[in-house]
Amino acid sequence: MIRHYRLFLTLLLVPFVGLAADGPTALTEPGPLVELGSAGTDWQVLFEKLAAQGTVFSHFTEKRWFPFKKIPVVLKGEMRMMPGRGLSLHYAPPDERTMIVDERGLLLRDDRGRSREVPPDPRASNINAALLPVMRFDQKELAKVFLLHAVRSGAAWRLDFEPRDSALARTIGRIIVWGEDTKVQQLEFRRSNSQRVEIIIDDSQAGIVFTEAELQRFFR
Amino acid sequence: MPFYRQKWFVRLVLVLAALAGLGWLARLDYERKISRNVLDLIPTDERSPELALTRELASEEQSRVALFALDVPGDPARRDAATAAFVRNLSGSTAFDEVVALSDMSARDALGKQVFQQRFDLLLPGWLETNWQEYSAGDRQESWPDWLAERVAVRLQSYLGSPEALAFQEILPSDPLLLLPRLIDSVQGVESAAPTDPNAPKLVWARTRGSPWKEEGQGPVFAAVREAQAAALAEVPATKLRWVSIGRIASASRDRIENELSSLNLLSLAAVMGIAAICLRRVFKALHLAPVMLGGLLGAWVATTLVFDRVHVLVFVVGSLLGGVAVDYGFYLYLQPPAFPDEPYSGKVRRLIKPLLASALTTVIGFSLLLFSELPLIRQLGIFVSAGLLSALATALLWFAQVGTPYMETRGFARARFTGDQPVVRKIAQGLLIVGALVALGGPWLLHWRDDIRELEIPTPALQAEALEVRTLFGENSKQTLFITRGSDIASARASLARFSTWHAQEYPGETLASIGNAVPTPTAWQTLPERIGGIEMFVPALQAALERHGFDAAAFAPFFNDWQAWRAAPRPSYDETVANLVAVLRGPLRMMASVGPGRCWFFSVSSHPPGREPPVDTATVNVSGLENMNQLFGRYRVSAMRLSAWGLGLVGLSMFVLYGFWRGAKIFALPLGSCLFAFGALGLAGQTLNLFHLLGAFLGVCLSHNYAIFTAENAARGEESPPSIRLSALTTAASFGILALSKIPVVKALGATVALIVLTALVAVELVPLARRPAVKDNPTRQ
Repeated sequence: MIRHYRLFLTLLLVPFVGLAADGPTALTEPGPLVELGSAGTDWQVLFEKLAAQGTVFSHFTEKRWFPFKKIPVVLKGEMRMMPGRGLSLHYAPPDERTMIVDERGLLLRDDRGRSREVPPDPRASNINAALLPVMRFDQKELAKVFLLHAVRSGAAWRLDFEPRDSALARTIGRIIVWGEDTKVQQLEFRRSNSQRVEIIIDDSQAGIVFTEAELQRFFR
Repeated sequence: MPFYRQKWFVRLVLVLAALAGLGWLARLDYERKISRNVLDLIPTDERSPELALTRELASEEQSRVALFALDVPGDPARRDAATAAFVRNLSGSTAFDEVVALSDMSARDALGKQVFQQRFDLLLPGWLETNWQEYSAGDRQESWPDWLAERVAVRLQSYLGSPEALAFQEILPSDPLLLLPRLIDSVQGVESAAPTDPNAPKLVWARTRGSPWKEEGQGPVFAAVREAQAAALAEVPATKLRWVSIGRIASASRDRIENELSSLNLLSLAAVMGIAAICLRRVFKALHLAPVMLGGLLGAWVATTLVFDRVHVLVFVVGSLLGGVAVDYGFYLYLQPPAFPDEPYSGKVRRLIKPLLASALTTVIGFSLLLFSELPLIRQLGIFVSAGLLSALATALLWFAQVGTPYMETRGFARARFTGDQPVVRKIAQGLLIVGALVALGGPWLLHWRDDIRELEIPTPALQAEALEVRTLFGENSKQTLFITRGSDIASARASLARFSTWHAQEYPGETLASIGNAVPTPTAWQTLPERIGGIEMFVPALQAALERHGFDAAAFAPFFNDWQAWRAAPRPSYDETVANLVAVLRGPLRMMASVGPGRCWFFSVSSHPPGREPPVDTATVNVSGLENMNQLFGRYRVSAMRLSAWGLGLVGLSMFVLYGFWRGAKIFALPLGSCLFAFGALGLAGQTLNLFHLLGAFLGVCLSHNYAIFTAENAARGEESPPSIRLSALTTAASFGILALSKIPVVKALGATVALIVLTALVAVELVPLARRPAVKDNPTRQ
């Protein structure tokens, strides 16, 4: 019933919030299997650049596809990421709220500023452990948990993270990231065609400084 | 009566009385009669007795919980293996009823499955009633089914934009009414959650079979834990175990109190014997004082156990100090020299009976006032001390009636008297008395009172630190408050929980209140369900249409419509049966959250704020978070004891005026009153924080110094020096209580320090007053 509660919140917060380009890529199919951690490869260079992203602010559009809904639910908001403070996902009105993920866990904050910890689910421990390296683009750890399919077309690229463990694969499905150069443009959490979440990132700014008021409002 | 016959008659009386008392005590069931539970200190008529009983039962359940944290190094597989071995071994022990690894989600899954299966019975009544209230308050332009269907579709649409929607998307086709998602928020936090950090300690929850206050809940439990730890060590040798249980702390406390009190008592006895050896010519004759103390204690035990069905052990701990008061009667009778050679014992008694009775009866009057307290401990102490003093006096009078020479001579210096013949000495004595008076008048204003129930605990720092670590790992913190709501049956408990929830929402807006009781319909909602359901025959087609209007695929919600039709067609279970089915699946930590039984139904609630104001009585709910309300209770104990002590002291003073006239009575009364005020003043100046036990110690100290004042005044009235019994009694009492003041047990320390200080003050005052007087104004021995 609630076993995937924390998982999905975490999935939503995976900070693929590098500098975004103009629009979603047109790479529609996963690429061939790529071995992570091979020194000197183009993919390793890309991962290192993505891992080195600093403070980021961007707007996003989220489309949620449900099997019982004919059209997706569309949400808009702002993403903030700051090394050491974690990631903040602020959803715009009418249902204004903020989700914060950091080293201490998950926190939901409503429009009146009231915060609520999301209780951890022990069964999600492996999932969390699996997703942490994705958040950090940690190649060594990623290689332990995921198979990587990657493809390029000019400056555009697509990464498909497929869990090695079949149970984990059934639970979280596949994580797909599209980008161009060092900019992440779109990410998707796909369990099936009718059950997926797309996050389109635009208007990104890197290296900005958050004010104290922003830090208090959007982070723990 | 010839002495020979008198001796055997008295011995017969003493033996019969002792046999009767011991016989009564021998046939008592001490497990039932003597309570060590702090909850027994709570006045039962303060709130409803049923609530107090429920709190006790719930406390009994909770006290059986043992929490374990295993620090297991190594990879996940080895960590799991060590934890499994620990759990398996503990589960196989007869000392434990239930053992659950916190990472084991089967109990939570079973509850989730049960709620899902019973969702229409459990959750629909409240949901329908809430919606009906909203519909009734509106303009009612739409029909009830159409209005309801539209609301469901709109809310579902809105819900899909929430973070939680992704977690619940698989059950939404079966639950478009959002019954379960709504419930989740109101039950989250009712149990501990396992940490998700893969390197965090492995947590295990267990419930012991035996009560932690009894041996079966201690020894066998410790043995089982040792075996389980060995099993975990066999899997991973570097495994470390931290754990906490009430039984473990209780056992350690008992060992500590036994060790400390036995060593302190030996020291105390050595000090008393040392003083006796210095002051008495024949030390072993002091053994004649032992029967007086033993007789007093026996009478106190018998009377208290006769009067009260259940007596708290604290009464006996505090009351054991009664011996210090009781022995005074023996000292006074035994150390008083005969008025003339071969003075018969009856003559000596006639000579001394007035101060003895005055001393005993006025003290008894004072302590008897404690019987009017609404607090059980104070009432029990009142009986204990009053009966003990009367028994001690009777024993003293009888015991020395059968002793051939009822007089024990002190050494010369013990009887030596000092006078203020020398001006320097007189000035110093006067100066000291003035300083004492200033301290007595000014110091008490600086006193700070603070009552903390933790002072009843025996400090076991290492265990308490470990307990805190483990409880923190299990998610317990001081920012939470635990409440218990009771009822004579499920319906009344649930109705009370609803009232409590309403009060809580008003008192703590924005704070969550999680309770498994929220999964249970209120009796009102349950009763109105048929009426509400009867009015929505057309709900299914209305909902299908509304879902389509809002972009949903209505066909995808077939699981809900099928379950709905099946539920409508099935016979409706009873309320009690519905709730009992839910409670039956509660296991592990969840099991503690609700109880259903004849006359003892309750729900626990966890709130996200620190303990605060007690809920109103009509909510049948109490804060069981422990210390806060208990501290308030002990504060009330102190205020009650102080009020009654003041009345008691007033009565004692009044009786002195009646017995001895105004001026003489005032002089007698000034000694205990002044000594007490000086002691409080000194403690106030020293910045000491006082509590209930300082106050009880002061009451005992006042009784002792009151005896000295009466004995001194009586001797003075007969033109005699102050009796040596005062010095001996004061010195031995100060020595024994002073050593108790060295105790690390806060209660014992407070009592010992206060009594010793008051008694020494009284002794110093008795010695200083003659020194401060000019010889010319010495009391006329014949003046009354």
